[in-house]
Amino acid sequence: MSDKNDKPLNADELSEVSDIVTDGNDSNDLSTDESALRDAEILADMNVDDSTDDSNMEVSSAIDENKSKKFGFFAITGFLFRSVWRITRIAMLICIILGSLFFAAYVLQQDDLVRTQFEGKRWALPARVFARPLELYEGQSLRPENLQKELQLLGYSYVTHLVGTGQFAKKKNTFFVQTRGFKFAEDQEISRRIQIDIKKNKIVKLTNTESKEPLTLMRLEPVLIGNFYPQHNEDRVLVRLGDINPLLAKGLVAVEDKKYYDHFGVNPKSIVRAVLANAEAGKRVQGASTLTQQLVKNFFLSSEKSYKRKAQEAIMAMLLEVHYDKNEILEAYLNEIYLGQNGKRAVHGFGLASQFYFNKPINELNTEQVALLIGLAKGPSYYNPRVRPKAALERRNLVLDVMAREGVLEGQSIAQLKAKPLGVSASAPPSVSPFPSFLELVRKQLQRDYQEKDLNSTGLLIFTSMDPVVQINAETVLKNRVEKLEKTRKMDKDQLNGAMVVTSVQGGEVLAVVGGRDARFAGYNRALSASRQIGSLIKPAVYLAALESGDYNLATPIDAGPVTVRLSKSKTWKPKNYSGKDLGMVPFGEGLVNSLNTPTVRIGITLGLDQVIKTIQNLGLQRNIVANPSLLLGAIQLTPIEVQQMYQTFAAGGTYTPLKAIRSVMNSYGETLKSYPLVVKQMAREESMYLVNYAMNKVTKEGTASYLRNSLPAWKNSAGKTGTTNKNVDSWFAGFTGEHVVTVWVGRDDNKPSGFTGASGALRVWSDFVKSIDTKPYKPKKPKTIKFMTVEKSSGLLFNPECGKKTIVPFIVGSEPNEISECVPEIYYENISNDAAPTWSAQSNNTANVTRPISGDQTDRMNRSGNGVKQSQKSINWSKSQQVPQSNAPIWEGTIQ
Amino acid sequence: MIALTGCSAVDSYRAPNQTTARSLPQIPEIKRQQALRKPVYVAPKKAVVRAPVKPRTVVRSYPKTIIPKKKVPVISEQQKLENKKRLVQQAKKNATVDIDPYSTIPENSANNTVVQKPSTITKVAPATSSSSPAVKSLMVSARADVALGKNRSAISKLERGLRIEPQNAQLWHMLAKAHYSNSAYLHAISIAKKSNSNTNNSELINENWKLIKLAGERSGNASAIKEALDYIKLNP
Repeated sequence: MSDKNDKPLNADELSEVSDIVTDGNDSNDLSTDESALRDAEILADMNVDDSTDDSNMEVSSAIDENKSKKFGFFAITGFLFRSVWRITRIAMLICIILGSLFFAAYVLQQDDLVRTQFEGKRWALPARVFARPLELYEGQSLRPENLQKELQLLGYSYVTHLVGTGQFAKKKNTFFVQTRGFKFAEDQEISRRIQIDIKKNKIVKLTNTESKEPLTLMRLEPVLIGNFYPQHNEDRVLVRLGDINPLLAKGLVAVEDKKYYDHFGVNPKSIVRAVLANAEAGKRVQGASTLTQQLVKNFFLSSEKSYKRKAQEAIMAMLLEVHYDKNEILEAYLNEIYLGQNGKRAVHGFGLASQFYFNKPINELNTEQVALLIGLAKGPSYYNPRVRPKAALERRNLVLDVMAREGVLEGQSIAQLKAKPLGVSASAPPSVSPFPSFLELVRKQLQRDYQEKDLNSTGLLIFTSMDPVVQINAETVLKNRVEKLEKTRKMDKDQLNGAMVVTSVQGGEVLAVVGGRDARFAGYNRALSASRQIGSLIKPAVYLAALESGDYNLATPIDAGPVTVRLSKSKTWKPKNYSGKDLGMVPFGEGLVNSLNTPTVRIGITLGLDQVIKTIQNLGLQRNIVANPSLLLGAIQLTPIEVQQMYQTFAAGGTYTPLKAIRSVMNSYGETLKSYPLVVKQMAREESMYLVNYAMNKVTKEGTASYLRNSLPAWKNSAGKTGTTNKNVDSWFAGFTGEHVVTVWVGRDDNKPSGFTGASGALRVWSDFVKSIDTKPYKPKKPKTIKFMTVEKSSGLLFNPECGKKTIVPFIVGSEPNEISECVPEIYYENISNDAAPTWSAQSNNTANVTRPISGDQTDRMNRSGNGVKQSQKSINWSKSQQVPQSNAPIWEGTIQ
Repeated sequence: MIALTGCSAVDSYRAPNQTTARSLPQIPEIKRQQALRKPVYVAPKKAVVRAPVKPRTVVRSYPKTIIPKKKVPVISEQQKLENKKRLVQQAKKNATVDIDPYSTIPENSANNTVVQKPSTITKVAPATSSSSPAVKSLMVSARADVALGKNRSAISKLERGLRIEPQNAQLWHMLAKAHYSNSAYLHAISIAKKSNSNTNNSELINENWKLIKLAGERSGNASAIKEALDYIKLNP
């Protein structure tokens, strides 16, 4: 505390500076006054004790000698007594020696403690989680409003003229930005003054207005999206003495400990003065703790108030001064001091305090703002500028006065500074992350590689792939659309909920996670935890498996009539199409486009469930799947993020890339600890993927998601699949454009029917979202082995110009039809007799016996297609290729009837 | 003598089947006269009345040749199939349509495409993947990083580039190289393949296969080596 050792004691005058009596007012600010008093007392006590010991010894020995002369009678007793006394003296001597030894040991131990703690991990630092840095380059598509949003998230202030870092100005669609720069692991973005011209949502010009070096590519700083805090909930942003405004250090010394650079850890003069002042006032008026002592108290000791602790504090302070220079100690002080409370989190150090009160990094603060922070050191809760602005203003102005008197403020008018408002940002930054859903995903990924303790106490910097603009868009879109949907069905409020995951197509990077309607609330994260049946979302996997087998092409006619699968001797499963109708023969692709159930089941059963499961796992679903025929229609519970992983592989043309939310982890020294590189693995043939995606693209044009044809502009070409579960419980849509993969789930938490199909529920959210973002159209490169051919629609044979309905279908070279469709229906009667059937249905070890006792109606239809023979032959072949199941496999026979 | 010789000469010129008229007494030598043609009665040519309308036909006679009877071709089953095959092939050819259904989709919102058209950049840049200046600058510094052995840094720069241009095969190729020099051979192989699927540039494809082969050898990945060798065999 500020002392005036050149003047006689005057408590009133002293308190004018900083020692305003605060007894009882702030318990957090451990009173230094009291500590000084106790320091003095403890020292006095020690002296007294020593002196009494010595004098006692001398006096008692003299008495003994006299007594032995006068009373020989007591000679023996005297002798005994003397010897006892001698022993006692020796013992006491030993005690004293031992005591000082112990004391020395204690000091050494304290010394060790001080050094190891100070040098080693000084603070448990929370891990900081950052969003992706926004890349800026000419030609990048960027909407002006999104750039502005990003700058605001970074805490840039909107000014008319750029003066310092962290500011931006705007003229129509031209931005002038003074960036702050950021130290990434591998390279550094320096602070630049740049001009960004945006035309038609594209950066047309990017220039560095300060230098003439060409600027082809740069990054803004990443937005901080959350923290992983240590157990004791301390939060701080470390600052270096060299990096901060020199005013802060000077001002702090002037106000808190004027003689800081002269004393040796404790200031005896001020202690004496404080003792006297307090004695005079009859209570604690003044403290004498130096900055070092305050640091030691906060740093190593508990807040317990006792003489023992005071002594320890003094010893440690002196030890600290012995080992470290003043600047190191001051830096530690700057980072340690408690300066406020954010929710349940303690704000420590000036670095974080600057963010907390002004939403700015510390080197962007003005003089009066620095003064406020210095003033807060005395009592952050009493002078809390958000709660007691008046007290805070008074305190700030007092600090400004002291700074002026001590000559810290050079050439600045105090009157002007004093007249300025506090300038504190209206609301404190959220004490919890605004993006809890995404953070949960980050934590999950990190927990694979890090211990919980390392995660939240070593000050890791975690760079994620989150795009804050996309994330905020996704949140608003989901919230608004789900609300609308709820209203259209006149449901009770807050019954319907949803989830969304957005990733980038090529890198599999998670850009946004929305865990529910209330995205700010860190509750049930549906995107990661809600396991729901996925319905038709499974179909592309079934069709992919079929195409990979080589037995099918997109035009192969498939029976969409009723199907019965025999599960066991007594059980059968009779799935129906959504419409419940018998749709006759349909081309293979249409089964996917119109999401038909019966052809899918036929294909899947014929192919073998093992094959389908293998394909699903290749797509990236890492879990065991029970081989049950109902799997073919999506009777499998997956979370949105798992669905996302599957569709990611579709979107990337068959290359599996594990979804990742983290790009790299850096330690507080700027070294990359771990990077998560891009991993690709071709899991399905590019050509087969091209075909499935072609069909999924058709889904959005003429299939179940044809809503998109009108709702999205042509350039936002996409592919995807709707999913609806029984009784409309879950509504799904998963799809992708050329740049984004998006999965949406809409439903109720209580698993009751929501009344929405994939197309009427989730698809709407999906469409709204894709409409709101900048993306690239889905335009896959045509593989060399794909060719488009005109075929006859119903038969899937080469188109005969004489008759039939033609369609253009892509084929993998080698799988295209080899027959020309015939105009006159060939008539095959009883090509497959019932007698023929047993020859293969009798093979009881088949997993699926596909019999086709064709009813007259079906036979006709098949014959009309001119494909009857082919079909029957084929089906025989398929059944032959069925694998023999292991004995312990679930016993079920699929029999198509 | 002369006569004799002449006679003998005549004699000697006698035709072999001439009747013996030589036995007649010798005729004084006279110059043989050519036998006068006896006047022959020539019947006056009948005036042939030709029908004026009838065209004159020239009748020529040709040497008679024997024309072998044409055999009716017997088409074997195989030939039949071949014919059918040919027919089907023809039909296939006719049916094949060279289209890319996605080619008509605009790259961006309509306004932008209009702006892009008059710009000459599209003309100058060949169809091969050309990198934007931003990506190029990343490639340059990544290349420098690889040369310095800072593979991690190179990888992160190339990945940054891929976020800007996800389909840039050159970037994928460089990423594969960086992984290769970082001894991550499996990554190198799969990423080189990814590069291949993004390009038609045969030079780059060659480079990629070479890299795959090397990485396969380093990691003992037999299937990768085989694939690479197959490619190299087909495209020497």
